[in-house]
Amino acid sequence: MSAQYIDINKALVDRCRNGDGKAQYELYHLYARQMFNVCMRIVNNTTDAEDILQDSFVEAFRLIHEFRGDSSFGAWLKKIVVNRSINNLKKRRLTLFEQVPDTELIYEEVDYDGETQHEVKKVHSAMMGLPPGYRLVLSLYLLEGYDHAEIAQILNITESTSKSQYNRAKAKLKEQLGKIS
Amino acid sequence: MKDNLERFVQEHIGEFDQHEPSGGVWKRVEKDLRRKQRPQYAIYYRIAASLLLIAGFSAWLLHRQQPKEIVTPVTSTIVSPEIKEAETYYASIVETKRAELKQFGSDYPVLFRDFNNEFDTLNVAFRQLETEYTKTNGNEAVMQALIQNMQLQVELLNRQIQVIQDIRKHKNWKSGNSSLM
Repeated sequence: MSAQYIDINKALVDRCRNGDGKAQYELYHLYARQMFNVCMRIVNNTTDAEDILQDSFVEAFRLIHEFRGDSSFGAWLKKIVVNRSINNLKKRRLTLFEQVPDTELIYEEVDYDGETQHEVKKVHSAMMGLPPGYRLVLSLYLLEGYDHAEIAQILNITESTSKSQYNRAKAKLKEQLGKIS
Repeated sequence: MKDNLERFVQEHIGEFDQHEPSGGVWKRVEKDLRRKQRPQYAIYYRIAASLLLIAGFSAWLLHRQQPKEIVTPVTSTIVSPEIKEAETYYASIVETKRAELKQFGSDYPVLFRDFNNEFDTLNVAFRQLETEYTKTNGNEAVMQALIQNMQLQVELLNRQIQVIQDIRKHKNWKSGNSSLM
């Protein structure tokens, strides 16, 4: 299944390399929704996220000859999207990593035994309510699947900063969830 | 070790894509792709067009002057104070711009050589006009052409600097991305 999936994309990507507009359209529709959500989780602003989505696809199609296929096209595209989203946060001069005293924040586990859709919505909206720096590291680690070494490289921070930021973000999220339920 | 929250999110990861991009994004991607196909050549075309224009104009002037006038050999160079002033003014700008271009140009030797050739074309036309100006005892139209030529020199240098800066920006921006990949 997964091998076949990669093959389908490979053919599409090859057609995009030749500037095939129909292939570009298909590839856009395969990834637009997923990439848009990556943007939204980082920038939390529809207009900005749509601009980033647009610019990322334009960049990806223009630089597609540089995509060597050593990762999936989706992973390659996602890095462009993540990079542009982070630049957006930087442009807004948001303080991403405040030096918070490292007090041990431990919150009780919340049970996720309600109706799934409802629980997802709850976690999602609590996540979107987090400060940008927390939301950023939390979504990169938990949802985009980067490890702390990769996050450290992407954000130009140390691995231990990434870890502690993630733990604080998670504690904060649990705190919010505790308030909701 | 994963806690409940992490397990929950990862089990329902697809459901966290709660946002939908608007349909207009693809249209904008398409438009951008068509427009940005050859951004740098567009500047070259404009430079080439302005060069053709000045070359044509110079040729026309030279032709127009010759049959009408009885050529009186001029022994001394008559240069009006107006022209002298303008020449000093533009020469200082041209010098600054050329120094600036040279500073960045060393990274792009081939481009720099082409740029110098383009500039020389204008400069040759300038010398021809200067001769013509002396021959015609300070013809008003030739003086206008001389001034226009100097303005074009500055304009050409500005555009050349812009091209180099665009390339540098593109390179920096690309290397900025590659740290993510």
